[in-house]
Amino acid sequence: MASSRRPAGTGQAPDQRMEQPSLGVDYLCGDCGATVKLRPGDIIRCRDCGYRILYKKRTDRVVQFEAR
Amino acid sequence: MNAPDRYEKFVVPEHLLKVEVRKDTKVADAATFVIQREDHTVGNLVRMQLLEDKDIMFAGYKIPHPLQYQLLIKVQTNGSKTPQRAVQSAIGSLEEELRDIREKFLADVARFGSGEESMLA
Amino acid sequence: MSSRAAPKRTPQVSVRKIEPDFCEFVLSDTDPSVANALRRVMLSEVPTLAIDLVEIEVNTTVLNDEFIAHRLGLIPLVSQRVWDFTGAYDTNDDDENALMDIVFQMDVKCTGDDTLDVTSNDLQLDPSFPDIHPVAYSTGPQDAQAEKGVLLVKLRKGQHLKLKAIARKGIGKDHAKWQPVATVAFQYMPDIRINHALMDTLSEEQKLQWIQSSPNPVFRLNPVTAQVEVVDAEAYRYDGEVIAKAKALGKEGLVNITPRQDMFIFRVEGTGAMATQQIVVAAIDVLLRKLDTLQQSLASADAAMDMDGL
Repeated sequence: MASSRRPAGTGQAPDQRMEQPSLGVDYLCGDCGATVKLRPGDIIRCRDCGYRILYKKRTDRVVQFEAR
Repeated sequence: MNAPDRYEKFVVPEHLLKVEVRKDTKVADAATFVIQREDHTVGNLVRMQLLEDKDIMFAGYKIPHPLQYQLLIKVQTNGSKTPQRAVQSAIGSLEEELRDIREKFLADVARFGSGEESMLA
Repeated sequence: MSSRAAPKRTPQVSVRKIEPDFCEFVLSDTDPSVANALRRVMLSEVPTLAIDLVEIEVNTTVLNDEFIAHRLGLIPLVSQRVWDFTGAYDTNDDDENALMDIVFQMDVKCTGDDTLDVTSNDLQLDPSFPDIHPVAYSTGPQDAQAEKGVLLVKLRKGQHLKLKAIARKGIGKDHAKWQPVATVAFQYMPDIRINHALMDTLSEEQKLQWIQSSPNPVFRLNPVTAQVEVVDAEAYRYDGEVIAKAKALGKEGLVNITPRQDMFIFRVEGTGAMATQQIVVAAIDVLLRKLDTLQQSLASADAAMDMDGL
């Protein structure tokens, strides 16, 4: 299923990140589901429950796939 | 990964001709037809029709490589007509036969469910 | 092209059965190469419509994006109007407003406590092409035995799927989702010759044994004449059981069975994209167009050659 897709996928666009250097990226806690905002250097840990597995959020853009 | 795109099987690239005729340099009345983007469907069909022709000394086809989407048809005639003419008349007969089959199929289909919604255009 | 050296064949067609998704017919007095070309074209060169691109906006279902995109692609679309369309690879530069894309929308969210089935019925049709829809399509109340559509994914409470699916014309050579048939096959009619002289050397019990050695009922013992006869040649599956049995009885050559090279029983199973009889006719048309292209290219190659000669 090696679908070639149009550029998309990685949450934020690079130029946006340049404008606001360390606003942080939102992650989801793997245990309680809370949103965790992380900046470079932060410990990877949920602030609510202490769980150490965080998930990246899905892009808010449309992603295109070939139906093959 | 490095497989050719699927469409290359049926889209003739702009720099190539659909059919190229190569006259045999050593044998008289013989030629190879290089047909782009065709396969066994046409290859075997045309070859078998050529073999029906009594003026044909040899007719054969091959697909030299499975990833090069081309078909070779080799033809040698007895000299009473050129290989091109032989292939043209073979294709002509096939077209005639297929039209006949089409007509007969449609005629026979008409016997069925003529009252129902006919899905045929 | 007017001179024809080959003796002309006059093929015969006899249609036996036509159902929406099934068709059986006998093609005779032609060559296996014609039958096979027809079969191959039905499989891989009759165009249909199928979803080719999927733009996913929201997908919180248990299936990943590419999985859902792939499933959408495999839904057969009713392709009666396929001839109005231009495929992505068709060379049709002269037509500016050639039809290409059919855009379906889908937006399903599960709000109840029960699991919600997302099916092909949840695709919203393109308002420009209201007659192009998935097979077994029905909208409105999904009562018990209404057409259920093709199941794509099941949703739990709170899960959401929102996407746009773009359908295009294509052929089976590009991807199997564009095949108009699930199966198409032809069977060679068997030519069964019983060696009656040798058969007469068998006892009635042996004859019955031999008849029963065939997994399908091909032969029977005529109760009046006590002779073995063929009841249904077509039922023979080229399994060779009766030949092996004859050998075991020490009567090699009791029967000689060969596939006839001029009679073919076709069975076409459609996917619902087109009526089966329409597929057969379309296949002939596609094949004719192929041969016509060759004929024209040959004519121009011929002209080029004559120029060289001068």
